[in-house]
Amino acid sequence: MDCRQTREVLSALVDNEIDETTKREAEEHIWRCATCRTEFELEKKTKDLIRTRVKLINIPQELVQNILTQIRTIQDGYESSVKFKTDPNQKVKPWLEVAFSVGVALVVISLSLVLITVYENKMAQKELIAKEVSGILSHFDSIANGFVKPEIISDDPNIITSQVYLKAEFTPWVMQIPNFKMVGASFNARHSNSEIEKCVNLIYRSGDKLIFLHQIPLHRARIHEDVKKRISKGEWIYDSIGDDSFVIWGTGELLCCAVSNLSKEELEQVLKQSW
Amino acid sequence: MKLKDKIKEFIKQEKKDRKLSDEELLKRQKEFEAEALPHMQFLYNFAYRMTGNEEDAKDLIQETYLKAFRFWDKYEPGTNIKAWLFKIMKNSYINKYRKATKEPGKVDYDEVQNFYETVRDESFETSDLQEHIFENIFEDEVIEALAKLPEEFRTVVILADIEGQTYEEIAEFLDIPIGTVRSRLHRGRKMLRKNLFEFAKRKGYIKGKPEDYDLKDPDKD
Ligand SMILES: [Zn+2]
Ligand SMILES: [Zn+2]
Repeated sequence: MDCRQTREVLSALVDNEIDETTKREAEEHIWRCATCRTEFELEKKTKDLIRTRVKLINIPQELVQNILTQIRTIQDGYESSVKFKTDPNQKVKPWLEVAFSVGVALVVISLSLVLITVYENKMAQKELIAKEVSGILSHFDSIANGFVKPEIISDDPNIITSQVYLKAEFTPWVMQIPNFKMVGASFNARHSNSEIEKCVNLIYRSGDKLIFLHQIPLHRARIHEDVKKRISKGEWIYDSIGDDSFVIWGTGELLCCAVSNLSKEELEQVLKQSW
Repeated sequence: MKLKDKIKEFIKQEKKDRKLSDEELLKRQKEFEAEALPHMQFLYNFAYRMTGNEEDAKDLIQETYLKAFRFWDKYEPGTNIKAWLFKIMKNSYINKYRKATKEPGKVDYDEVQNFYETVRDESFETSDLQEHIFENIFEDEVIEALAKLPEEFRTVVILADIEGQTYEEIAEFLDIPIGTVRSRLHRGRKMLRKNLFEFAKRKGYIKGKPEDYDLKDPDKD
């Protein structure tokens, strides 16, 4: 075996994931070659270093519980949708039926505006913003798969508006978007410091185009300082992630984030009309 | 999959689900819990090391388990459930994080290539030098060095060295040949060592430039 061949099996030798013949050949080379010997020792030490320094972590207690609860909720959802079918007096349809009967995929936004990692400071601002918004994409998926259900859903925008005012802890801004119709709303606690005060998400639809308007009082929003500075100067930060586009801006009191499957340019145009 | 197809698929699934009786549903749930829950520790540790924080790791695990439950009918009993769950999680991870930071598949290659260049240019390791590195390194620094590795290398190092998985298991999780596991692991560990060298230098454990510790290194590729 030469040096090159030896390097190819070095990790396997360290991990003892190697057949006897190859092992013998590699060891023979290492015995003769000081360079490969050093490399072998280093690799072994590196492995040990990682293994001894980085500890396995226990699962947070509440995680298992949350998952079990959610699985049971999904399960109940099936059961109640079966019951809805058989009960003619039932006025409210299960949310999925309503949603899909109008051909809408509803997405609850849960913006990952909070990002606490060691690398935060080093991240370019564009990247930082993109990462903060990225949570939406997975929730898009979750909703399309039926894991999450918006609290309010209706064909009548007025009902949605009154319900939103009733349920929100702050006064959200119910924006009118030309050609778009409000079809639902949801609340979540994720981006606020308090469990009680929740963000509001308004869901708008026009054909297969969707816009989600996420709102939270500015003083409560946990968002990166640099981003906060920019929007408080009046900037609207537009960008896109994959096929989706988004914009973050402030209204003085509220932090708003709109996400859409429109292109960045289309979204900008639509919002300018409604502003 | 396009959103429209996803919805179609979902409605189909939903209709199928509705035919199940309460008893069947309960049986399905119990079965899922018994099979899938024991692997949570393994998945959580991987999620934690990939995302770097508890909140994101918890989100990822929740999403993985809910998806797995939703698609439980697609799991073939008797096949490797750990790998099945891992793949669901990997997809969620990719959707969530890779999309946000770069165009898929485009930047990766250059990033890795750059890494090779630096690794091969700076052959910094002598036995004297690395004593300094290994003695003075703490958990946080190993974690930071790990986080800097390109994703495909970080993945195998986490699986092999933190989670103690065999090459065969890793190959199945990632759908790559065992030979690839082997070489990624070797290179991943080497890159990690280089990162640790940078820390050690920054903290003054070692002095001078990498070239001062030059050593002929035939490990060219
Ligand atoms: Zn050699
Ligand atoms: Zn929020």
